[in-house]
Amino acid sequence: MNLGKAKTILIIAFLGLNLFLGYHLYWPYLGQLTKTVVTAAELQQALAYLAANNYNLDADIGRYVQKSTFLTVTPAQQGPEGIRDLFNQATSSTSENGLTVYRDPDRVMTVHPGGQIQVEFQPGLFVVEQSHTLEERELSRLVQQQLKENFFLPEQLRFDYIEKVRTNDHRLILHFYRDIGGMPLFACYTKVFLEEDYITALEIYWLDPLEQPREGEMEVIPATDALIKLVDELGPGLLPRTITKVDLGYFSREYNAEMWEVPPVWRILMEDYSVYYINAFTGNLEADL
Amino acid sequence: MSERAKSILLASLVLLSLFLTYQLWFVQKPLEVLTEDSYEPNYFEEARSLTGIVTPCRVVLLWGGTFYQFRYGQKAFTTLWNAVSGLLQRIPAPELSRMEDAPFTDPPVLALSFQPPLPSGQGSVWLKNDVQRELKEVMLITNGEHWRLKFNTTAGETFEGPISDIEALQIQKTLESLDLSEAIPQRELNSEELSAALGLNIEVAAPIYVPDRPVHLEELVFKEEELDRELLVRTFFVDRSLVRVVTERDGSLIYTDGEKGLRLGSGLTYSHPQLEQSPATYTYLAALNSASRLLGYYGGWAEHLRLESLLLQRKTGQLSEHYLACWQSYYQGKPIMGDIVIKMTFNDSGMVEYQRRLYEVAYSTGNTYAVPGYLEALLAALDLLREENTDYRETTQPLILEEMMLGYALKQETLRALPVWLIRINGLNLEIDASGVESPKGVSP
Repeated sequence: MNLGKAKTILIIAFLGLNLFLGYHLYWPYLGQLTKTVVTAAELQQALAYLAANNYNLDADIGRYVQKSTFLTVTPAQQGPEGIRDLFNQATSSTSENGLTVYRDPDRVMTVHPGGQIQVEFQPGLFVVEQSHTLEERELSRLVQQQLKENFFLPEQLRFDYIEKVRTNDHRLILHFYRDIGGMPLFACYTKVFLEEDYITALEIYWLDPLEQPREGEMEVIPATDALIKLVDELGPGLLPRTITKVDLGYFSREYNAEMWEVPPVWRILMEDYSVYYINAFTGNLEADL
Repeated sequence: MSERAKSILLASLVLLSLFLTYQLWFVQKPLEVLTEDSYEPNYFEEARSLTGIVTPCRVVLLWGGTFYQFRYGQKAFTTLWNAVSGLLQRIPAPELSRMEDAPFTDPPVLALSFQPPLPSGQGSVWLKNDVQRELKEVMLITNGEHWRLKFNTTAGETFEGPISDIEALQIQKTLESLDLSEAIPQRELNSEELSAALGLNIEVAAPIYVPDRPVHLEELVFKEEELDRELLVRTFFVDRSLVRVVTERDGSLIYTDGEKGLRLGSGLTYSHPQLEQSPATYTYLAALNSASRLLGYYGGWAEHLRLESLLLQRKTGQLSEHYLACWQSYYQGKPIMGDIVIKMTFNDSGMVEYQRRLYEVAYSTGNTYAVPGYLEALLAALDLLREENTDYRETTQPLILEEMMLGYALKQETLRALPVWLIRINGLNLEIDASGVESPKGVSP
């Protein structure tokens, strides 16, 4: 056998060996890149299950493998960085129940002991005429612009949705959440109250992430499983109910604590603005404990 | 392909195969290593057998014309309870119902009271051949020649029957072997004597025995129970990776998976609200075993703990129900009062709530206190009733003395425990300082 032939045989043998070793080492990871967790048939089954229980899905849902982990947060006692500076000239008073109130001629900020903040504007910040007729995105852009120019807007804030107050067509609540590396932290929110084209009040609950999501990411349950779990928990709807948003993010209830870990959840928003959080690891409806 | 290119490619493939082999061999952990501890059983200890779950709340011995009283944690208590428990396990129950002769009128040599009641009959280890009953009192009586066993049930029935000479001999030997040199003789409180001594009308509801000679008790120092926190968390949560932690401002930690929560601070508090709606279909016997299993698994059954009550409870207007089990800590026959709690609720679905804050005796300070006599303690209790209980009307309300015993009161701030008289009058629990130093502690309904 000549040397050239021997080399060719060895190349083929080692190539085969390397493919074999590579398959064993990396196939689970490569497989995940292409794996679809929710097949078209599974999605149809889930939709049929929802429909049978009087629920209608009117939202896009991700169908690919997603991984997540816990996020450690601490409550910002004085709200998002910088907001307190806006009240440097204000008179402040602290009541017996721990509420601290900062008063300026045109705005009042109330800081609750747990870290929740309420800001009331007097008479309000004008946004735009006929605000309730605008598209959601456009209105949220104008509101953010107004807050940035005339009050305060944290950079990490992202628009979530607009809630129309049933009793008053000209009253809207714009919901924002804090973005953490591309994932919504629903537990850290800002609500903007809009009335007759004016921003009248804000509600802020601000959390700061202490650490990047801890190691050991785990696969989360598919959105379809979360929807089925929710329907199982709520039971069949007496009247048809429409699901308008299904998003993966972080959520936990508010604790009067130093820090806590927040789990990933599937946040499910209904047409009537009721919100449910399904733990994306366990599939359990997140409850107050 | 040139020979040079082939050589380079071959060398690269050889190096790559070495690298991949190394990765496969040393770096990547086998699946079984990654998952080995996910579902390993985690618990503190196995459940106790029934003989360790139910014990008498009191053992009264009449020996040589003198009463002695023993409670949980005393050596004589254990000896006497083991003897009677063994007898009840061996004795054929039907024999008890073959009672043809007149009952013995002599006072019992040994009287054991049970709260919670002792389960007997089928499924139990005691009087196995009998029908299921709940015994609240078991007595051994002798007329000097023969011995009889008598028991009262919670249903108000009384049974009495002879025991064999061999069993009687065994009991007699146990009694004779008791070292009573350290035991304090007791006297049975009597309504008339007590009323005369106190100058008011007082009724003793049940047989109460108090020391008949001066008692000296030592001051004790306690330490908080230390449980393996990581094991506790693994015990409550099967998959630890799904559990998140909340760090409270006082340093307490809350572990939760969104459904159930465990708080570890000073002691532990656990709740699983979703289980509240389930029914509790356990029999009393099954509930006893469940309580023991749950306590054993979740923290363990400390030696000084006695099951004090087991009650089936139903919330008003709801179908859901649960058992409430409470334990009491004892030191040498004396209950430890204070900020000590160990109680749980459970039903068919499992444990709904659990609270555990325990202290163990670390050492005795060496200080001993002369405990005031029972009359002095009763007078102090009556003063306390008058001072703090506005509903109390001495003239219109008859006084009923329900319980009176010595115990310890643990002070949370110092972790020191001093002797107290524990008195129950007209449904009110009174804690009377018995160290002779401090004033009465207070009234609790």
